Amino acid sequence: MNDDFAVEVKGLDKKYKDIHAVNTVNFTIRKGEIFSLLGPNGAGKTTTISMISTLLLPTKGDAFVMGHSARKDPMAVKKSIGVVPQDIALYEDMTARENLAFWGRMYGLRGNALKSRINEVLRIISLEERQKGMIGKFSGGMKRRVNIGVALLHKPDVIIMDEPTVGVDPQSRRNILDSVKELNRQGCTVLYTTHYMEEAQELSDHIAIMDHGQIIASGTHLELVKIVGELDRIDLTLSESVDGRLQDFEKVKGVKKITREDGKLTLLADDSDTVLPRLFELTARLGLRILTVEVKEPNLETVFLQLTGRALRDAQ
Amino acid sequence: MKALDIAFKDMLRSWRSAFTVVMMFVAPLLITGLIYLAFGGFGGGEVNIAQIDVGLVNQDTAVSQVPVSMGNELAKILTADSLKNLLAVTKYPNETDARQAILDKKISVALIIPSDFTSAVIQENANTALTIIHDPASTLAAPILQSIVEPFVNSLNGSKIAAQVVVAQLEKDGLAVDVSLPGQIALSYGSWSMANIPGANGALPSVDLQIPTASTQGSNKQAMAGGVVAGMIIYFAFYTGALNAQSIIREQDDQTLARLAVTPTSPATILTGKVIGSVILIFIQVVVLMLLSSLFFGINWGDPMKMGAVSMAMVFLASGFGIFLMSFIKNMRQTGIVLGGVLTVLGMLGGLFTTGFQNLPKAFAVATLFTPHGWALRAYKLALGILSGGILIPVLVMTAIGAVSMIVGVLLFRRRFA
Repeated sequence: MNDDFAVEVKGLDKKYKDIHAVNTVNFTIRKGEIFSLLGPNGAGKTTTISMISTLLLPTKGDAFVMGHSARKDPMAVKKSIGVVPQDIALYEDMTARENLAFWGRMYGLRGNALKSRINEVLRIISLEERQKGMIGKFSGGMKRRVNIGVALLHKPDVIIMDEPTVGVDPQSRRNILDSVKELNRQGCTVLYTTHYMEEAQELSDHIAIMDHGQIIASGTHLELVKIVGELDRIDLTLSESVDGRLQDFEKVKGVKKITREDGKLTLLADDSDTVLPRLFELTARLGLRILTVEVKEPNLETVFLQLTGRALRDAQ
Repeated sequence: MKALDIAFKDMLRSWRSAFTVVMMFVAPLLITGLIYLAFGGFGGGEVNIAQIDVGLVNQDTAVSQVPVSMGNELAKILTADSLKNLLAVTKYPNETDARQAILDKKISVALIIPSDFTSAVIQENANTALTIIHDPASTLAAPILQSIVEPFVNSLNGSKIAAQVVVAQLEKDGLAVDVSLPGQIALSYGSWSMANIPGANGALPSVDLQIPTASTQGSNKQAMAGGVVAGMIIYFAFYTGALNAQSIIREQDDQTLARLAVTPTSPATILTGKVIGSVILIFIQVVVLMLLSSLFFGINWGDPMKMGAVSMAMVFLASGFGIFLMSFIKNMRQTGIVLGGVLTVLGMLGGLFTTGFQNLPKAFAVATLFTPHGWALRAYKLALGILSGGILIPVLVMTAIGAVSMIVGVLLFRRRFA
């Protein structure tokens, strides 16, 4: 066991009858890191963190948090982690303060220690003035903040956040991302799952890309982008659908990968300067009009496209 | 400690749920109140029977062998002080006038004593009849009057038979019988017979009229009313037990159960907290319903020790059974079947809704014991004195069913944790 690691995942595997939800996943998270599991819905991210947080028993393999085995010493793991579930897991008929007090007690906090920690957490999630409001009356963003606050109460070594920004307004999303950075600055290790490439890119020291229950790539942002090499990403918006004519685009010299979403084509190409004229020629020949053209630097979206042949947003 | 935190959290949420509070307290009191109003209360007050206006036509004539008129003796009984509150006797000269008085609604009933009443008593083969005429609209007056007159007539019949036996025996032995002897014997027997009727000497016993006294009828009705309210308390206690156990399903659907499972709190502690919450909640419900039913409906719950033992066993049973039932449920959509269907059917089979009905087949009483509700009701009836016997066996059976249900339910619920 390496003392530098807050989390070590070794050969973690989960099978449900016919479904292989997580397939021999391995990764490590250094203490004080923000580590993102990036992948589309159904990739196996939630199942993976459920096994790390002892909620699910692995079919094979094990996860270690601060050196404690999730299989052999689940209580020690539970004391070391704070989990922010994907869904709002709060009591709607209790106030924000009552919720924090109850969950604090579940982590063993009592008396003045509990009171002062509740006050600190309310300050972190910026809900001091609404602490006596019923959760049921809160906006989605406010509920998300309390949802995160519960996981911070006992000052865990590792915070596990499962898609905490799903369905929140941009302002609350910003607030949540800033909170994650602040927690990390205070020394907290964060395991963050998301299907938003931008979030993983902004927050993470290390990223693992998951698809169909497997880690298909991992490393820092720069390391991952290097997988794509010198490929450019070209986004084309056309005047009409290209149904049945997609193979014509695939045959264009220099185009390596192509994907389609809502009338928009995304292509990976060797060199956009030489490929773009060929694309203009093809669209003219097919009688299509190009509405917009965008050439982008390679990013995590490009990496996912390169590795799976699918865009992150529409991958299932 | 964490188990208590979970229990108090569940109780807080229950108090904040209008539905739970209504089902715990308002619904049982409302239904009991409706039964109370429908049957004009549960007794306990004075039983008032209106005075009966009786017409008396005494046509009896004295005979030489007997010094008294039997018609006059009967009239004395009807006008005795002990019956003043029950009978208001008006004398009429003849049957026609008495019938007219009934038609005019002046009296409800009339007794016609024929002219040969006394002579029929002393003459060997003579027969006669007293006639009671009554207003068809007055259904109680005639039976009450008949119940007063009948013991007197029976004593006269006994006198006549006694005299006939004595005379026949004397004649058989060849002894001469004086003509006045049968009358004297009849009178002697009649005096003895009347003296042996409780409250005789012109004061026929009101107790023999089988008119229930206020105290005996009141206490019986009180006990029966206690049974009706106990049925309601049991039904809604089981409902609260299931409703509280349902909170596990609700927490599962709301993801808070999964969140609890990732805190350093063992599944055993979580389930213990749920059980404690349920027991405390049902206990409060039962105590409050008993106090309020005493206050509003005058229910006397009898011996506090017995009732306490029965109630504690029932609270434990309702909690355990609620957890058992809910352990088979997968999600909130299925809970309606248990709350609305299973508990109501078990309540019916357990006799909770038929506690006020008498003369139910014995087989039904036995069949109720195939349900936990039936055992609970039996225990309450025993504690209230509606049934005779000790409470020990039902209390033990309830505790055993509650314990088994709780263990099975908790084991099934534990499977929901990884």
